[in-house]
Amino acid sequence: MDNQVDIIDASGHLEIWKVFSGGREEKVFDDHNVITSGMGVGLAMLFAGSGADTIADYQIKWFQLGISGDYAIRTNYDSSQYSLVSALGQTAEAMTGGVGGTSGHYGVGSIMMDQHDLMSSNGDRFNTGVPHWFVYIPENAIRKTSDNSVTYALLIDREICNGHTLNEIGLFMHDPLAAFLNKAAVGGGQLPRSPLVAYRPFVNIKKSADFALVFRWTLSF
Amino acid sequence: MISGKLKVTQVFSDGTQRKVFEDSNIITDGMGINIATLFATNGSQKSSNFAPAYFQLGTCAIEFSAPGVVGGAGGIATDAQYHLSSAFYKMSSAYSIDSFGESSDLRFFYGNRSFQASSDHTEWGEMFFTSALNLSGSTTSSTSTKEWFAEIPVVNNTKYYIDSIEYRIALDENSLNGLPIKEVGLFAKNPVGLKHDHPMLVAYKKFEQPFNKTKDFSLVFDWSIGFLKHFIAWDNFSNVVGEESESVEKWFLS
Repeated sequence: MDNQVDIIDASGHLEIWKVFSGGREEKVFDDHNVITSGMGVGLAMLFAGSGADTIADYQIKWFQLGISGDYAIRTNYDSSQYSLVSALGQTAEAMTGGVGGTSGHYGVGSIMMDQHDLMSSNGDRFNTGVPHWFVYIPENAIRKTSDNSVTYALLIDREICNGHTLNEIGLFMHDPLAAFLNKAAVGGGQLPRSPLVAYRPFVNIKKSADFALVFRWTLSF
Repeated sequence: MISGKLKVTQVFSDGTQRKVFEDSNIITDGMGINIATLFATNGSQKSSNFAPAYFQLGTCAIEFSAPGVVGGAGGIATDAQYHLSSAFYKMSSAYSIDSFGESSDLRFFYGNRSFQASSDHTEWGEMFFTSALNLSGSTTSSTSTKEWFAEIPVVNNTKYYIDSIEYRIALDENSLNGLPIKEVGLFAKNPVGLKHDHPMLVAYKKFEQPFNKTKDFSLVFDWSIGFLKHFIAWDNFSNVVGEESESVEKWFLS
């Protein structure tokens, strides 16, 4: 057994706030999260100096929202998780009775999105064929909140995700295997392959135009 | 969970090898600061600056049961406080380049060491154990004087598993002879991203029984850093050895 002093426990905490048009705020969720296997993959690549050439490839730049977090809870999700159960913009949704596989799930609002491949636990590409949609985390949403903590403030405004019952969220590193993937910018190179680094199912939130959602996610090391 | 393990092997000139030490190490608070700085995008803009690239060896050790042995901003603390904290950023007494000998194969860097500084409302000082518990503020700073750091060549890095990394520190037959080795520290290169490297301590190990180095053998330190306990996939991307290699075990499974 390790001594307490021998290890660093990477951990995280997620708060979810509804923000109504009049400015009223209501906290609807407040709990810890799970740091997932992709964090280890990315950091090990960084420390080996072998995964990617640019620092942005190792940073957490993307997130996904999903609609099947209740399944994750029933099946005792843990740090081996490498995808949301049913993310918006994920083709698998169509097969599970979800709502298709396009960025249109998120609606039209103040978010920037991109398509990536999803990394599985051994570094391979998880999705077959069509890539997933990811929501970009802008630089001003990332803040170092203590010596060893970083907080991500993720905004889903009133126009986004309406009609969906949201109940899971994941943070993703950009592309820690970039150096190994033949991703020439011109000529049909591979897409970034993003690993899930933190995950949390949460209470059902039926998103509507009445409120925006703010996810305040703090990772500590 | 981020954890590490250190194995020390004597390698004699006839090729004989003898394992003399194997134990977990301390992942210090510098590792957490290193990673948080990476993710907060406010440190170095070079990924290589966050990776361990230097080491130091020392003649004494950070003591956990005898408060006040090592200086700094620390004070009197209970044993429990020491055992629950890894808030230190320096070796107890690191060897300088002169101690390694003129014929050492190692390459050295002479520079300022990064640390986390804390304030007790009146003055700032290097954070050391209990000072981390009572701080009113903290910031990353660096030593005003320079220290010697030995380089870990990139070619000495190995990846067997996709979520762990091994560093090999080879202390050749001509290095540090006649001197006891009681501590070793692993330093990230330059996480703050200053013009010149400012290494930060990220992992540390003290030896209850010091190694007395002689010219009869080299000492090889194999240092593994792993990130999760139950993940067992091979690294098929950067792995340069076969899966049938017997050189490693999945140590953090146990």
